[in-house]
Amino acid sequence: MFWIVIGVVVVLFAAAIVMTRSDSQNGSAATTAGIEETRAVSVTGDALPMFPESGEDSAIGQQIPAVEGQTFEGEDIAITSDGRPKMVLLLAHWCSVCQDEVPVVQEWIDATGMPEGVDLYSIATSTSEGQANYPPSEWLERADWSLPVLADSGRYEASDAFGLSAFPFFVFVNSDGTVARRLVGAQSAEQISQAISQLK
Amino acid sequence: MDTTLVMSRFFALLTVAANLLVLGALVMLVAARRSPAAARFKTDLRELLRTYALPFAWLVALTATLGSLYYSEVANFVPCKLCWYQRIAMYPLVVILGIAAIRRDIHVRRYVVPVAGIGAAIAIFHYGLQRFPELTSGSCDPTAPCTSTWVWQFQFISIPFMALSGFALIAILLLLAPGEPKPQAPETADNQISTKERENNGLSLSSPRP
Repeated sequence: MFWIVIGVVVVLFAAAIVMTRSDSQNGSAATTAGIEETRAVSVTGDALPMFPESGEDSAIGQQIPAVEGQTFEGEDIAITSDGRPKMVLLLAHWCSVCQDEVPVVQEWIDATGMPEGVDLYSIATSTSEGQANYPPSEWLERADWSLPVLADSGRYEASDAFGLSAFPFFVFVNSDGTVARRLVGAQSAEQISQAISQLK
Repeated sequence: MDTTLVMSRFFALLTVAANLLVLGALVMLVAARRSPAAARFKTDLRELLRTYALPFAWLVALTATLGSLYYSEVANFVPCKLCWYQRIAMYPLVVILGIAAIRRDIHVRRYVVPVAGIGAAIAIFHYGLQRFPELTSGSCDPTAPCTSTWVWQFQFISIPFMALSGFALIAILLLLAPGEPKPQAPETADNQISTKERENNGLSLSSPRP
């Protein structure tokens, strides 16, 4: 009896190795397109303080750090104080609220077009292979996501730079590079366009 | 090759095996009411469980405990609040079932099965949260949210599902095992309960002690 149990366990473990190996072979074929789910990120300047659970957001009025990285495809993308107002939306593929928020934002853009004079960015962060709805590149592709996506590093440097506390996370930045407002959680199209319209 | 993925696959396969054993036991219990062959199989199996139920249940608890420690200490997955509650229900079973296995004390199930039941209930709730996270809140906590699914194997197995499978297997093993020691020779009148009665005792928590 003892040996039967040991035998079953050994067989199952061997099966796990074989299955994972064949998976990773299939996986490597898919990544030949040059898509990487995480990319190196460089942050220059002070990170924003963590978004507080309650009370005043001390990041308001503070200068955003310059966050430079790449898209999933490897094109350079930089979120810096470049003299233009902007909105940065941080998303996690496994977060169900983000999964619901992406179509809300996309439908708003489809209906009204990209807002005039304001740059919109998104950051795919907290990317983790073992978690649901992986990989984020395929998720956003399926959602016809039209915002440029910065792929955060495995150490989530871009998300730390913006002081993210929960997903989805919105950072609204004035043209002088100061934080106008940060929002956390699901937002309606009206709330987003209102925050954008208040940017200076 | 990612070791964590291999381990997750392995744990997922063990989970499937545990599910098959529990399902098989339930099917057997139903079939035993109708078919004499299934009833004989049930009797044989319970006789086997007289010896092996406790060590096997201990092994299940040990595997679940080591698996959860692997995820938190080696793979660095952060246990959420509900994970901790399930751990509270699972970890002591290693010691309790270990001692019971050495002492061959099947009556320990009076204490173990309720704990396993509570653990299973928490696991079901946790699994539900993972599948329907929008029921909880308007944002996702990045640190240790109970809604976040660290492991997702075969399109249905997550960590709380593994825990649920472990709790279920421990409970069914202990409940199926015969309640009374094998009669050597009928010494007292109390010992002379009918075989039928003795079989029934196995599945009831409050099996009367003679």
